[in-house]
Amino acid sequence: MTELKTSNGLAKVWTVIKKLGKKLFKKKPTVFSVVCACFLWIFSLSLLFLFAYAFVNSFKSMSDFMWNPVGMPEKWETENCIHVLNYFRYQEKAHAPFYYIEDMIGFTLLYCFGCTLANLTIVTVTAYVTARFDYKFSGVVYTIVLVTMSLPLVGSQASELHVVKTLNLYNTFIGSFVLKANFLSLYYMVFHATFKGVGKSYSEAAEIDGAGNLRIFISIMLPLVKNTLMTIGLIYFIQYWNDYQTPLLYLPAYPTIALGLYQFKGSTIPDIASPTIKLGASILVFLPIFIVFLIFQNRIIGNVSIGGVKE
Amino acid sequence: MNGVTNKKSSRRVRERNNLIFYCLMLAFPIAQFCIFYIFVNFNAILLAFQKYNPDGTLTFGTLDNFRRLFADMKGLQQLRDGWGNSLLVYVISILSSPIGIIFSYYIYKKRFASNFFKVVLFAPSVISSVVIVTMFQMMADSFIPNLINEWFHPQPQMLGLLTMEETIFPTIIFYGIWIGQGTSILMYLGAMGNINDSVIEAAQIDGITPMKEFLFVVFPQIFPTFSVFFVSSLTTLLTNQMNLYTFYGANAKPQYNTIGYYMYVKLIRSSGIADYPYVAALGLLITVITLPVVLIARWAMNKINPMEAK
Repeated sequence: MTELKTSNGLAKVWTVIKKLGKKLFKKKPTVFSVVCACFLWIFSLSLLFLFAYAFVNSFKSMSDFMWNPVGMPEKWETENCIHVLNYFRYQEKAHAPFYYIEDMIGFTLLYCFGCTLANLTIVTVTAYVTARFDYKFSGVVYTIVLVTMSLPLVGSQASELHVVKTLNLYNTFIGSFVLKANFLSLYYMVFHATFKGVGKSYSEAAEIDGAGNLRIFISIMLPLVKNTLMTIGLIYFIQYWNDYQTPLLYLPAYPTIALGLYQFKGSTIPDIASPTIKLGASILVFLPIFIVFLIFQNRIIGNVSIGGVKE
Repeated sequence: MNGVTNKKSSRRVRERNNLIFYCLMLAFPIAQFCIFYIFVNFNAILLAFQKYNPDGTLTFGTLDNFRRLFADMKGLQQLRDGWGNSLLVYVISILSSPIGIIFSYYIYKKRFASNFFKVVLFAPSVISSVVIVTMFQMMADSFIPNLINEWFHPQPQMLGLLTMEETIFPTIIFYGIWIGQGTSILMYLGAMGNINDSVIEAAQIDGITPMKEFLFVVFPQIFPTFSVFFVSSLTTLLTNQMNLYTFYGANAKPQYNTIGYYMYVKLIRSSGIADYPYVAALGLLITVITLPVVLIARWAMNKINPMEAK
């Protein structure tokens, strides 16, 4: 009697598992998909583990980290966060002023918003006028973008730095914005194709109503491509937030938060040299952009492909 | 008659306004392009043939930079090993690209947890390299050796992966492949998304296996994307820093240098513009080497493109 009950119970559990399996694995698993899934799990979990490891260890005291580098913290130290906030600073060179986290956040926001705006504006404007007006020069601009994208002219950084210094743009925010305000990118192609696809009927109707070219561009065309604009803007913003090598080379006196972390990471000053504090600082830089990514992940991941941005 | 004249003149006014608008809108982008692309590249050539004088000026008409460069290629370990390291990094990135393609195929087929994989694998692409390198450095130099020492008790005890001579280079290469997969997965996924569903359905009606579907239907369709990846990696073959600057700042050991890293460090460490002509000469040499290689590679990839062949 008991055996019968047990076997009935097992059969029920098996049915539930089968139903769950059918729900989870909508398609029948094959050897190929199982092997792929195994590797993907290892790959993804290793990445997640890295972030979890950094997060957990940023709450350890130095002695806890030294004696217990593998396990969980004996005591969750929130003091590390305070230490990071106090010591997260940047100095361009000896005797130069120190910049603290609030300064770096300010510089980062100015740098990221400024560069994103400069880059996005120039790409959009250039793509719009060359797509809308059929002058011969529009074709020339399109060809320039194609050619520069396929010509591997590399190693001109020394010359670029030389020109930037000669034009007194070195170590200025305006200089960085001007440097980024170019249209030579894949996104020019994306906007060009988008504006071509919009058609002239909208602008012609507006023209009949007496709207000028600038009005048509700002009030009619930009709202029509706002999805593409938003996606590419986000991609640019994230890219500028994370980049530390360009500010290090062109804007060392106004450190962004990524540049600050770079110097902090290499610091040997006793108060800062602790790995736990460095991990805490990494988490501090990592969190804001990761939250932005999580909020907009569908927009960013769903829309980007090698061919451009899907509407 | 008056109406026709009015129409003509209003059209002329509109055309003039259009032209003014067009010129005003393009003035800045074109000026920027002329200065920061055309002039910068022209100046790079000039700079390569200039000599830095102690009074801070530059004199034109010398091959000193190239002489110094070729002498350094024989004498300096950074440059001697740099070419080989750069090439090795490229070869490994190409050899590891099937991983990205296969993973993309799994996600494309919307198998179990594919959305989760997509988000997790893409996450490193939106996080600063300094952040990930800091985390990875702690893990490679503290967590992994401590774990191995605790479990296996090796004698002598294992040191950090980024500290031991024999593990530094493989660890940095592993890091590049591990972190870089996200972007390539997304790239191939975008290409697979553009494959016409009817092509896949037709193959499935014919009873194609998943492996054959991947090899004979999907891969030929995404070949142009693979080709772009192949050629664009070739473009950065000699400028790739392999994350060395993020790991070690300007102090990476000479035997692990790549050409791109060597060039960046020279530029960062240059006092004033003293080293710019030398770096420009190296940049020019890189362009001269890369340009034909990239053009030939692009031509070859177009030739073997299975979609073109059909």
